[in-house]
Amino acid sequence: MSAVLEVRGLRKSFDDFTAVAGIDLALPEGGITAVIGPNGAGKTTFINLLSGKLVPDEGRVVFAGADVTRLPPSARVRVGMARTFQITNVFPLLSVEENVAVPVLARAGLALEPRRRVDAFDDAHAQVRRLLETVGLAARASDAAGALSHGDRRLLEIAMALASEPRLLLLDEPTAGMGAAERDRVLAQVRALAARSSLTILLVEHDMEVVFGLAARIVVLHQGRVIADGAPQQIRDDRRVREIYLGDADVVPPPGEAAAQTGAPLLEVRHLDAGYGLAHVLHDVSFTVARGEIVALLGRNGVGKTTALRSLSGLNAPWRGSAIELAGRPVAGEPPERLAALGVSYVPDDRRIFADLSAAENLRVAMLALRRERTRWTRQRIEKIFPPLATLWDRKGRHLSGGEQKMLAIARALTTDPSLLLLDEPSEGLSPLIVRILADALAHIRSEGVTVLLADQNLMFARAVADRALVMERGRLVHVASRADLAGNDPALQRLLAV
Amino acid sequence: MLFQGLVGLSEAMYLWLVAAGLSLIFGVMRVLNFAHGSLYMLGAYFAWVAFRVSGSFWVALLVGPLVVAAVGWAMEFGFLRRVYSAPEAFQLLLTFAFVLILDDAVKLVFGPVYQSPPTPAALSGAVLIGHSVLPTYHLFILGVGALVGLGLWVFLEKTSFGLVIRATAADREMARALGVRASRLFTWVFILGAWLAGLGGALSMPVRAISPGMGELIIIEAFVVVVLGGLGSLRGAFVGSLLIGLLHAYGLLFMPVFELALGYMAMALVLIVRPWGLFGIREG
Ligand SMILES: Nc1ncnc2c1ncn2[C@@H]1O[C@H](COP(=O)(O)OP(=O)(O)OP(=O)(O)O)[C@@H](O)[C@H]1O
Ligand SMILES: [Mg+2]
Repeated sequence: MSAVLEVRGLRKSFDDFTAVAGIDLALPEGGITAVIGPNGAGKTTFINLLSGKLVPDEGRVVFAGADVTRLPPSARVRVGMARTFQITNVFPLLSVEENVAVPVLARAGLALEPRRRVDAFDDAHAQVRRLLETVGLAARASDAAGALSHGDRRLLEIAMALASEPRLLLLDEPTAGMGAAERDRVLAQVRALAARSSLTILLVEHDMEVVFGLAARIVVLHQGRVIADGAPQQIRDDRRVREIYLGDADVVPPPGEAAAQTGAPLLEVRHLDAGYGLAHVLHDVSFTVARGEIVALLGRNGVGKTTALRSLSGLNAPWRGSAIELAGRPVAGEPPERLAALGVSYVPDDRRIFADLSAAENLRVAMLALRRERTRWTRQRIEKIFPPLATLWDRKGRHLSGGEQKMLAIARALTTDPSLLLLDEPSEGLSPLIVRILADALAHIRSEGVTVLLADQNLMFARAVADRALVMERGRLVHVASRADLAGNDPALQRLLAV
Repeated sequence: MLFQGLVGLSEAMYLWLVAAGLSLIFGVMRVLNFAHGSLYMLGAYFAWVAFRVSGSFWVALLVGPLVVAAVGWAMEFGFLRRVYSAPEAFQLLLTFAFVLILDDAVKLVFGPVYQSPPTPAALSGAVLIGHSVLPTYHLFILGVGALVGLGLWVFLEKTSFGLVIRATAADREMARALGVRASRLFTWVFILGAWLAGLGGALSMPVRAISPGMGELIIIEAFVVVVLGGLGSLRGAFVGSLLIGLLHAYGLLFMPVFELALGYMAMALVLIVRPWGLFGIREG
């Protein structure tokens, strides 16, 4: 049986660093294969070599019997290789339908031929409909793409990629940043897609539920090489894979003791209203966080968690009538630099690393900004939490992998020596092993008097670290879950986080 | 030939100083300062006044740009900072208003006549290059331009303040969240940009005619340079200035009719091949 995709001796170096150090891989037609591996293992680089975004130094990529090693991305799409990107890529102002029509018309060669467009429209229209049905978005056809939820946007992207009628689909972290409910929906659609057709899917993921729930075969990369390749059970039992990637038995440590909530409140939020322009996102949100507590903000995608964290960090001015007190001092409406000086530090979900600065310089900016001479969070301590950073200090931000950037963003926030740490999706994009270390580290950070408020889609992670969870729905705070609720099967929590 | 090149390069230095400030301000603050040419003009006038008062070219060269820096401070602190969050059109309107106000103020105070200022004695000699004579002053200008370029590079790449400026230019919101006092930083960057323009103006005083319209002439060229070199890129501004200077010098020699159009043609050509400019960052 001949393979759809065959990769031989693929290598790629950047300057002095070898990201892909000789990969051989053959994919037979059909089915889903997952690529996993530690942060910085070379997964995204590998996908980029397959899609043509990068050209390898050595080796060959053979697709359906033809050598495509040196073909540009657009040519690869034409021969049947399609991909979605790690960052969502849709036209937000166009409708869902129009978004899909763009690649459909382009493929039919009609995009630049205004005169023929009308004649061919029926055909194209039917195809657009078909594609939307394939991913379960037919009902949203006329909505603006910008109004879609995170998961729906991903599905739309997949529909757009399918417009080229590919035989191979490459997906880089398709469910990153998605809540359980959204994720399961995307998962179901991808599974159905694979079952219905002879499409071959290769995906990169850090979410083990997705990987083990979807893939029939798992390929593990480490330092640019394949170190394991086999059926899910085989991979799960592989000692080496556990050691470098999965971590020990549980993906997260068992819950420890909850912090006593007796301390004076550090953060008091009352009647917080916020939004963007005319869009009213947060409605009358009130809560308090005690000093040294770790509180998780939970809720489905789009309920306002990021807006809440941004309001607390000063990046979004809270609307009038909102009150925020930090250690008894009213701070609503203060600019972000002022809040930073008062000890509030924020890690955005999209990392926001300074791309042209080295990793070390990214930390130095945090020191200089507050005119700090020293910090409790020295590099040595940071390297204990995030061992991979130890060798990366001189690398430019833009050259770090997704997970490496996430680690650096958290490290940068710690460098400011915060008393209140706001973390938006801290575990997203990190390998299970690093997520574990981070969970341990948060417990440790808390013991030094740092208070943590975090929003995370990874319920396992929240369970492992949080003393309490605040659950939001449509911009309102609707439920508070205790540590016991979090550990057990709190029905209210189940309901609020499921579809 | 070589001589023409040197003349072109030294002429390019005024342009470089103005373009450097313009580009720095745009790169960090995302404000296109139309009034940058007027600051250049003010540099020439202030230096001229300082010369009349003190009798020393060196005092004039020191004082002129410093006064312009003070004007820059007043502009930023008193006006510009109020419109950072407003749409770009408002910022453009405001800086354009400054063009009109400053030009008229200069006309009122000094009259519309072309002043002809003196050349400094120490630099009034000339050097023989091949068969042509190059005024020492041109070499001096070349030296100052190169020195400023080097200084800016060291400042931005090697100092802590430079590091914070680069971070803020790249992502203002994140820098502020880390504690960078962006509004203060903007004031300093604007002052530095104004000083650079003022220095250009002061340097031009002895060899170029001073007139109220001189700012408008140079700002257009500076825009060409900044767009051609890549918005916000100092290296682009430097290379762009040299390119435009050389084009003018050789254009004057070989096709005098087209001389003025050459800069625009170069810009158009670059933008067709690299829409983000020579050293600009490609978006997306
Ligand atoms: N242009 C570059 N220059 C230097 N190093 C690079 C460059 N691009 C990537 N790297 C390095 O190559 C390694 C592999 O990066 P890659 O993005 O492929 O990792 P990844 O497996 O996708 O990781 P993650 O799980 O964090 O997304 C990383 O250590 C990264 O820092
Ligand atoms: Mg990656």
